[in-house]
Amino acid sequence: MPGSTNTDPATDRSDEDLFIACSGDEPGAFRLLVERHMRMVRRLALNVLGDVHEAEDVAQEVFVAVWRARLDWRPEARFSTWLHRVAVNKAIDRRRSLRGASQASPEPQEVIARLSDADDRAARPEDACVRLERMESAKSLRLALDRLPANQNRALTMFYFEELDVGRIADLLGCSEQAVRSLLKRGRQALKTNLQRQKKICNHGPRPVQSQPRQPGSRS
Amino acid sequence: MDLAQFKASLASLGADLERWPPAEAEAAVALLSRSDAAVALFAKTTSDDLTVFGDPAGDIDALVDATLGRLGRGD
Repeated sequence: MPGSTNTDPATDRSDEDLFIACSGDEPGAFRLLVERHMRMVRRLALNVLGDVHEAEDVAQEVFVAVWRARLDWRPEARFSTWLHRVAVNKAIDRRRSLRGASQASPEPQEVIARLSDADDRAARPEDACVRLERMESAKSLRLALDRLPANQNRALTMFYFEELDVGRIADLLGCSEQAVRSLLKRGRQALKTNLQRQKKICNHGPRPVQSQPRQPGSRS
Repeated sequence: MDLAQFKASLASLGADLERWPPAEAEAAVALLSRSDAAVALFAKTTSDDLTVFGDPAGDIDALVDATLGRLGRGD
């Protein structure tokens, strides 16, 4: 079974090296790859599908497909480039099949399975470190937003936190949709720069308390 | 939609296609299905968004375990 043993403590090995090792005698290498890329794969799928449960199911399918392809894979491109293509293709396929089936009712067994999966996930208590990390991220984001020019701050707040569409924001701000897009573009760029700057300052500040590093191959 | 238009929309609206106007999102999906360069741009913006806005979807460990469990069962 992939990932069932902890065979490789070297987490700084390249993706390509790990993936090649998967087809040999290092089943733990695949767990490292899944841990390294799961967040990104799930987010790619979520960005295409807009539904967390569908995105998580697609993310699992992506890694199953990747595992099955390990023996035939040749390192002609970066592993991550290939992985992102697989993820986007699977998400698009799912999106199309969902749109096609949107009129049909799901089979009862499918509904039960989804509810059961959702219950399992909801039952897991959120890790305190994850919660703290999320609160810290939200705080950093708020600080970075506050440093933006007022019109960029308003446009980003309305788009991301109030989830208004561009047309509605244009109405509220009394400008064109193109102007709103321009504000969002400059705001996103400035936000990214501000957050990077904050991160640099934090990295030079007092050393944060580190939690025990997670052993590769360990289960949570 | 061509690559330049896609890039401009990503820069303004981010990579969450649900937040795009529906017709624009459909055109983006069509482009993504045929262009590796579009997938690379999409992945870059997704990564940037993760850095800036964080990941509200949360718990990754459970998903990793579920995925490896699925492989273990031979699904």
